Amino acid sequence: MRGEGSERMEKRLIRLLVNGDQHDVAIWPNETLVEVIRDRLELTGTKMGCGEGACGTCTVLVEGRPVRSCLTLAVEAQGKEIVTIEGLAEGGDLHPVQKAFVQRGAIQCGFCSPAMILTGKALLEENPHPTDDEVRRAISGVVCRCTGYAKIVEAVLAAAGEE
Amino acid sequence: MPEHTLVGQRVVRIDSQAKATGEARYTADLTLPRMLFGKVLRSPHAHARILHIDTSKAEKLRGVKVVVTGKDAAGVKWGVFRYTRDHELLTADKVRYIGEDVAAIAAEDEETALEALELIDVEYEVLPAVFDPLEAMKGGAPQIHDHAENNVNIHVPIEIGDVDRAFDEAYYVREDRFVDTEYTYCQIEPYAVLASYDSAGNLEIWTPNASPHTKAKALSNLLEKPLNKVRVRRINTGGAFGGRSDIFPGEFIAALLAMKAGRPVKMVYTREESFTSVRQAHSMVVDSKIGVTKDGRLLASEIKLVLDGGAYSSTGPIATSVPFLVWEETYRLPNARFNGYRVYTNKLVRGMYRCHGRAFHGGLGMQLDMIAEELGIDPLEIQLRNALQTGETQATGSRIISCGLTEALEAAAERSGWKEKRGKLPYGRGVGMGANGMMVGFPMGIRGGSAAIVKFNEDGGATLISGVVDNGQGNESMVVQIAADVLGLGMEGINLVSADSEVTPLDQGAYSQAATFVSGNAARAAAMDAREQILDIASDMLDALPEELELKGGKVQVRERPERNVWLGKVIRQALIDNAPVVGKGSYMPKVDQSREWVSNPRGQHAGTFSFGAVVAEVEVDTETGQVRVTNVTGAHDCGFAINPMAVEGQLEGSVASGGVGATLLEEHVWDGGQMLNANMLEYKVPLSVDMPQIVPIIVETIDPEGPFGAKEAGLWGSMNMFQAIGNAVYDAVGVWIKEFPITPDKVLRALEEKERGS
Amino acid sequence: MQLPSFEHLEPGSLGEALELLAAHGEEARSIAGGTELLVSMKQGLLAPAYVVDLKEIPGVDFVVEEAEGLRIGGLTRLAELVRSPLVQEHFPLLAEAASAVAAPPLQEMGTVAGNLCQNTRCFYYNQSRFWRQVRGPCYKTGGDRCHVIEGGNRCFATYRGDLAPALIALGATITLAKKGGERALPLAELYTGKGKRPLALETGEVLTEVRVPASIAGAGGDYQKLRQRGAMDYPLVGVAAAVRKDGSDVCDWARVALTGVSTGPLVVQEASNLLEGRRVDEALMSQVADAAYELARPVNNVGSEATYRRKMVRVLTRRALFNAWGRE
Repeated sequence: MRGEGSERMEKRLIRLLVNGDQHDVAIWPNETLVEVIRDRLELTGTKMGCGEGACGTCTVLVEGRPVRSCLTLAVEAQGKEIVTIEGLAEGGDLHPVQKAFVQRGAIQCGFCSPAMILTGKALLEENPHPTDDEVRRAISGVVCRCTGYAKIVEAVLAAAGEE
Repeated sequence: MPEHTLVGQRVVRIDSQAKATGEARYTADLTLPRMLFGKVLRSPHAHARILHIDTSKAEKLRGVKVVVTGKDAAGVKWGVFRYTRDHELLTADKVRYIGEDVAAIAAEDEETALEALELIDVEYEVLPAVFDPLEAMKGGAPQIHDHAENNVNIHVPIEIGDVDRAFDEAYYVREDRFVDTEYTYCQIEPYAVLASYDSAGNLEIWTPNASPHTKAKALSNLLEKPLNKVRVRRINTGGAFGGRSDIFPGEFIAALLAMKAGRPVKMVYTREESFTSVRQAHSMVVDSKIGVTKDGRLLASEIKLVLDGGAYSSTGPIATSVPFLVWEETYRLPNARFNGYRVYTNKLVRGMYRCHGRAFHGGLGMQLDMIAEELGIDPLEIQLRNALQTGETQATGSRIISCGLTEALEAAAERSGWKEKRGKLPYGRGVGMGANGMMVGFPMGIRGGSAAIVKFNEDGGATLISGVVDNGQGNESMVVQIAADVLGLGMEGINLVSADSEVTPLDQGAYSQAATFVSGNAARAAAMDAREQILDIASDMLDALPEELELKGGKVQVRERPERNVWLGKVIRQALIDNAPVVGKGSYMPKVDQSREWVSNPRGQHAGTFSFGAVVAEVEVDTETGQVRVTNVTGAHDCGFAINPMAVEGQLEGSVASGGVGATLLEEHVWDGGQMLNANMLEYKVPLSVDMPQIVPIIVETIDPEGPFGAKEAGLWGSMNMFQAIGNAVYDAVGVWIKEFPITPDKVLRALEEKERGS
Repeated sequence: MQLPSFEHLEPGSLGEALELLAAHGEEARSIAGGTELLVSMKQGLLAPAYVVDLKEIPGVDFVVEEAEGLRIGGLTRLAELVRSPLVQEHFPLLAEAASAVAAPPLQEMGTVAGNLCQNTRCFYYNQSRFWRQVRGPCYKTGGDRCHVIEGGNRCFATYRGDLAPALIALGATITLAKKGGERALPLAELYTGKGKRPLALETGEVLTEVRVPASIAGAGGDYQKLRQRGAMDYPLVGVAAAVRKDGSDVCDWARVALTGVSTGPLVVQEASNLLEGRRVDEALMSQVADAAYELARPVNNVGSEATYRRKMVRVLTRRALFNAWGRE
């Protein structure tokens, strides 16, 4: 059992702000944010591709910036604005980056797509008119095995054009 | 048949939205009530006898529900072929690679399961191990399987024409050795499995897969259960590339755990386990002797191939043959001798990767360039002179019914500026060419075909039921697009129930490059059958002949007088009342020689059809560091007909990453004895966005007579032509041939230094 | 992948953090970005009973320019260095090195202190517990052998940080704080050169500040990083060069530092010896490059061949100097 036999670990009640919703969860200190998001909050759009920060599929936005949620302790994420892929669409309308990914065939197996989309969104908020190189650099921390990145870059540029 | 309404268009795929919102679920995302978590105890030894396993302490740990070992299995050995049954999947007597499955635990949570693993005691008798296939083949090497002398798993001998005489007659003969390291699929979704078992003996499995039917059949054999009790369900799969096809220990073990516990069991592998304990790709040594005429036409080919197969056979016979077959599928080969050996070693089992054998095909493609150099002929010319054409027959007897290889070569050359660049770019920059044929739908016995059903709702919407499997290529969308085109419905008008071994008819899966050609054809046939039934009923309702009618926009209408129409829902209802409900049924089996066998009879029609591609890669070599940068990849692929051009492009672009920049330049498994040093995603170098070249994909359409709407295949391309394109480009840039893959900077630098010393 | 159990402590100030670290000694580790610590913990390499979280501590992440020079707080995120107009304009070598670390999302998480104080790395060390069990412990994990160099008498784990050579080349000093006081020292002295314990940090010490002297502002600098891919990878070889000209065309200050080719960052002393007081030309740069080659001792524990990497030290040193001089 997690925590069992460990005198030093106590469950902590923390308040997480995810996609605009407040969640009060009792967690162990050694739970990472990705585990809490997926297993406790049942937001399974965030993936666990490696657990070591090397693949990027666990990407969430914390205060608008893409981070590895597999290397973030859940306790550290308290009180910070967290956005997962589920938080992008507004009332049934896809976010422009999501729309562009769908329209441009930038999604194949889809496992890296949440991370790519979130990273693209964060980029456009900081740099509304990126170049091809700037998009590639921004997504250089997320691995895709299917697309060769071509249509992913196209989709982010298209979303920039539309905004 | 009317003109296309939907096929040929860049349609949005039906699965994209759910994947964009995070709604799409993969195996690790699933939960079932009372689910347990499974973990596997793995062998730390490359080769050892298991003397004793004591699980008593583990069983006593609070939270542990069940423990299984090889003793819980029925002792059945699995083999993809009847003559390759060598794999027990949860071994009882011997371990044959580090990371092999020895025992497993299912517990209330993952921590407990992991803790329990530490409490299992295994007594091993360590045996000498062998890791190099050339060593393993020598007499006196440790024997890994009792039945395999000198550890030879498979030997495929192919002899065509009179090779020895042909070499005598050849104008120019050369011999080269090409060596390829090992790769891994590194699908972005790690391996996972969820197994559920009920008291009536029904097993349900969810696991990323390329064929639910293959998994179900294997489990049925291994568990000694009839197929109707083994149900492999449709699940989103995060990439396959050939590494999800076979049956793996994971699903067998999860099934055993679930059956023993009477509760669902989920196992999610770590990334390390996904690297070390599922499948990886073969490494190989290719010795190729090639003889040509004065004008560069292939006369004779003699090739010895040694594949490192790892500890079990998996798709051995196929893997051993395919490299040669891709060669004979591309070029005219009047005389050939091939000896392919797949050798057991004490390493992870190898499977086929995005077709297979690219160093083989790539090496031979480089030999063609070497020949061009020697004879003073443009490499493009050599390609064109040897390229197969429609109507020709390949070396081992397959007839080609459509071929756009010449067209692809010319398109690639033209668009890339071949003539202006080859041999003319400044030192350090160069272009190289590669070409490939690709088998579509090869013999798999009863498993080689597909069947589909279309049923209708009373409001005119339909559901297509097909075994088609989608691992990200867009196959699900493809069959819907086909059926919707035939039935005059939009993409939203047809639902899809797919890839479920209980519900959907037998289908070959995402294997042998056959999804479009076989599953697509079956879906089309089913839709045509439904269409015929609909038009038959509607002809009464509209007082017109069936051949005067067409399906358009959810209606049946008279072609010449569209104002005379009836809503499809009404036709469906009429059919129901008439006790002749519209249910479309169709199937397709590629027209292959069913008596052809990989090892015992490699002759006859090998595939339903063949796709063809050609590519030109442009590189920049930093001559001080040896680093090779691919700046542009321009090429063409004869896919027959692009059902969804956007999906075809996506596949072509993706293949440039994995086959090109990845496998040719970056990816390699590094081993120390029986241990993988880089079983993680930081050190196994998969290309990133910043590593990719500009890609210009050109679609060539030859409209295949057999394919659905003329479509063939589109998934491979770069996987089988980038090695030689890049290798040849490096030669054009700096004058050295690198015959060991991947082409890493240190190899280039060494070759440049040797060249300088030589001159 | 699971983290082991630990008690998570959240001090509200630097003083409190240092108190906790002092109190728990060897049983505690501090966490800043977490990009190294958490991976090591998941791999079973470290299992501290207490994790002292520095993330929220105010006043230790800053980038300011003062009369004496640039001051950077230890908890400053690498991404802040990349973005800082101050750093970009006056100490571009630092921005270059920071932007070469891994990839942007990891720069958002990683800190200056974390990057400078990173552990040495090795194929045989940075692995899961199961993986390491197969061949038993090595010097770095408490055993009595090296798995890389047969018969090796010490640990050859490689230091692979990108910031260290750049800051060393810029003549940086650091402040190490612990309960009861702090000390300042040149950055280069932080590194022991020992693969097993690469940092000269006392128990409970935290790197709180980096200073780059004002005299270096505007110096020409370049960081050459050899890696397999265009992002994510640690340096196979890293060379940082910083040079300054006096009023005429004479070099009055030169520093070259290497990373990725030894158990610690290496200072190429010959750079100063050969270049300072001279008009720098390509022949001199080559000589420095040769000296760097002599100094480097890579081993086959991080991927790519050691003999190749050593050759690249020469190539990259020449390039770094050439570029740095050109930018001066």
